[in-house]
Amino acid sequence: MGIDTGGTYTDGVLVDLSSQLVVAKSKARTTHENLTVGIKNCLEILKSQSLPEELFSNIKLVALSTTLATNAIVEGKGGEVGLLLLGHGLEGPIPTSHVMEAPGGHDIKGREKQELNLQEVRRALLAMKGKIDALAVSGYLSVRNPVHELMVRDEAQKILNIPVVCAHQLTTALGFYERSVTAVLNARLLPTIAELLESVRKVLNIYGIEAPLMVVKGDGSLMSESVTREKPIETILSGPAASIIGATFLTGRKDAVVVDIGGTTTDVASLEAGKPMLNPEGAAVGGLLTRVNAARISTFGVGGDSELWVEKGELKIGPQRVWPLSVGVNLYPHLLDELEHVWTTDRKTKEVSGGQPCDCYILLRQPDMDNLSPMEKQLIEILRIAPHNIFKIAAFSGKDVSMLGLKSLVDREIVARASLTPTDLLHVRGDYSQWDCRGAEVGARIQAWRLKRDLDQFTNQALKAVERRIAGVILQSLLNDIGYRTDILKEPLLKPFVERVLGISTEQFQCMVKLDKPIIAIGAPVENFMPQVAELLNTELIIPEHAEVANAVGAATGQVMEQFDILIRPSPEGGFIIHAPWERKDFLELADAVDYAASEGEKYILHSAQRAGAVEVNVTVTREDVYSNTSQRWEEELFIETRIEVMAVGRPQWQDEKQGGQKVC
Amino acid sequence: MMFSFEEVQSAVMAGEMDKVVELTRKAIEEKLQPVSIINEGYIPAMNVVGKRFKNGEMFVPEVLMAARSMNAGMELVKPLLVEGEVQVKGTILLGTVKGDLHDIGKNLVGMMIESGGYVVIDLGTDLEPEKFVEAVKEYKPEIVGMSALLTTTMLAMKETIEVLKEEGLRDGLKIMIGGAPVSKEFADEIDADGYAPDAASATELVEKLINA
Repeated sequence: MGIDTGGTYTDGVLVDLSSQLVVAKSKARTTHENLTVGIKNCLEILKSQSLPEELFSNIKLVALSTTLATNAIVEGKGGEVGLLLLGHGLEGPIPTSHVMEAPGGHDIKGREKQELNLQEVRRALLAMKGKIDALAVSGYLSVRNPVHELMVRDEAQKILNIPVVCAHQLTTALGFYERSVTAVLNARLLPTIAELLESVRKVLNIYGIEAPLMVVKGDGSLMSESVTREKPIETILSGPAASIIGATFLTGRKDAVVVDIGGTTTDVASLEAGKPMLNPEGAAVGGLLTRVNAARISTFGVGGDSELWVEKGELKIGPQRVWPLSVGVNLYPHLLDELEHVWTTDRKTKEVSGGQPCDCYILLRQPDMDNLSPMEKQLIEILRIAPHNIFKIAAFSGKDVSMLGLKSLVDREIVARASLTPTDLLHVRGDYSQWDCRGAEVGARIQAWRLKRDLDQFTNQALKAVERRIAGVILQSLLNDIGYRTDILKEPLLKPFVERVLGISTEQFQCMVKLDKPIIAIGAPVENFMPQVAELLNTELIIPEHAEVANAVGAATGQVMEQFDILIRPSPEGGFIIHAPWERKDFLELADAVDYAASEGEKYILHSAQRAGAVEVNVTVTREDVYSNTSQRWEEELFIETRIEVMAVGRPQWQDEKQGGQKVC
Repeated sequence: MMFSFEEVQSAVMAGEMDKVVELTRKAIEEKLQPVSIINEGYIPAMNVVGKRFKNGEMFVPEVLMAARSMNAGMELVKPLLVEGEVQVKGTILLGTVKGDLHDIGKNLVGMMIESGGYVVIDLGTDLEPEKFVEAVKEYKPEIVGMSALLTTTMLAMKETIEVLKEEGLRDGLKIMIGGAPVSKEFADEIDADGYAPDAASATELVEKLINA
């Protein structure tokens, strides 16, 4: 069973592992205040489908992909965390106020930069005692030698009796600031994730499910309940990664561009050899940079509910998300009359600036009136009775239609704005009939008139623009993947080519690109937009069945994967130094260093993979000797380092199974 | 005799320091714009020097003499410049890495870059990675240039880049490397942004990196 608690919906799927088929699926609203309510509703819907009884009782594994950690970080929730820095201070925002520093740390060769002053360490620990629920320890260049962090951990466990998180155990990447932030966030999430796992377990118990519970990581692989309790930070941004894994399972494709079109955004990610490409910089959450491995996802502000707006005779798309007019009119039919009145009368009387003539506003919740300006109070009073078009609101309030000042109410999510969207145009074209077509049409007519087009011309032109925009963001994302950062539509030298690729211009010459992999499209409006997008990019389009629950499928079908590098470098004093995640060690001969790194690395990763819940583990140890030529031909090549990449891949352990492993070299 | 740009140019190219100083004095007496003495006198000359050096028509000692004679003239012109008149195109930190005492190539690069309108801060030789870190924090340069003349000290360049990463200073900084044993392949391997085989190309590389 795969469960995904997403931003709007909690999805559940049952996947039959022998036939590799999705046998049941369900969707329930995500309950942000308490995620387990939504999960329980989701299971209830699954259960209520007349499935064979044994299907539910035979569940061998429950895999969860959750936004909980991401949300908790963004909202600043979690436990009180102390941060003890060794050998270096920090500049930049740190997500805790209990920060202490003690002498220690290493240099780039892993030699002691400063002796660890245990007396200072004890003093710092005692100063934080009683004020914190968990401790994060981060040493300068601890990724080249973890010994100080490990010594402090032992000391802290004696004195504080609380969980201790060492930065070097979460990442082997350079970047003292990001490592420290990662350790603090991880420590802060410990109680939050423990609480979630306990309540999910309770829900599962209600349904008699005793299978192992696993959680999706940001790179799309799975980890066991116990590892999740130690490394909750690994779950950030796991939703998009799960959807990529789901896409590969549903299509059987290993190399593809995965495009997920939502209401607000389009997410683009690359799938390589069945795995999502990772972000080399690490994941950023809530404005904080971490060193957590996460799939590289490019997110763009264009989706089914992006606002289509007209400014200075030009049509623009997004990035603002609005209610489609078809949805607004469906819920509040009187808005149709108001929009008709805009069409027949208002549009001719007054030019609207800072908004669109078809904008309507809906009150979402009763705000605390004390925090509102007199003008805002008046607007709330008007909207409390019924949602209205802006001309109506202007008439009621006696204000100019361009000066209503509704934006700050929208920003605070007190009021929602409805306006023309791609979803509306699909209603106009007849592709959709889910909401109110008339509302969509009158909105489109108003915007068409502002661009001096007739309705059909406008609808086709605007939908074409959306397709081009999506094709453009896919191209942009692929360029980002190869390290090209600039905006392809702004870079002066690229612009003429990109415009011709997207069919915006054909003047003087044409230009074509051809993607060398297919596009897998998931999300609601993909059937309507993506065929044309794939045509612009000259590639195959795959829209898999069950695409709407791809995240949950990805959770259910994920694998356990652990990976790290061991560095072996020449020592300035002669001999070689191993920098491994667990230690730094000297050797006289390279061969001995390599043997030691490979055999210890294998033991270490097999243990980690089994702790992470893997069975049928394949361990691969790859040695890469890095040499570089010099410009002096009589010199031999320069030895830079040997990298030992240790990787373990296994499938998650099912209920009533024993663990084992094998090695491939 | 009237002052002529051609004369000062050939004096710079020939590395005749006294003559450059004398001609510069004359130019100042004749109320020539200080900026044009630099832009129309020294810089075109140094550009020619750079090209000749690259083509093997000039050698290191001659280039050093040319650069020194230009600097001697520059000393006279500098005090006359109105602030902001000469646009500073960027700041470049230069240094020879830990364990390496060679500095001729690095000094030459420094003078060539300076003559291209950049501020060059020379940190010296045998520099621990921490020295680069401190200087990057203090001067906030656009580019850090590292030099190494020994194959044994090339790895110190890699380590310096790694320490800059640990300190969170690598992003937003361009790193260029040079020195006799250094190659393009090595630059790519250690994640430097560019490599220049000689002082003239170093100036071109600076232009390229600043405008990238």
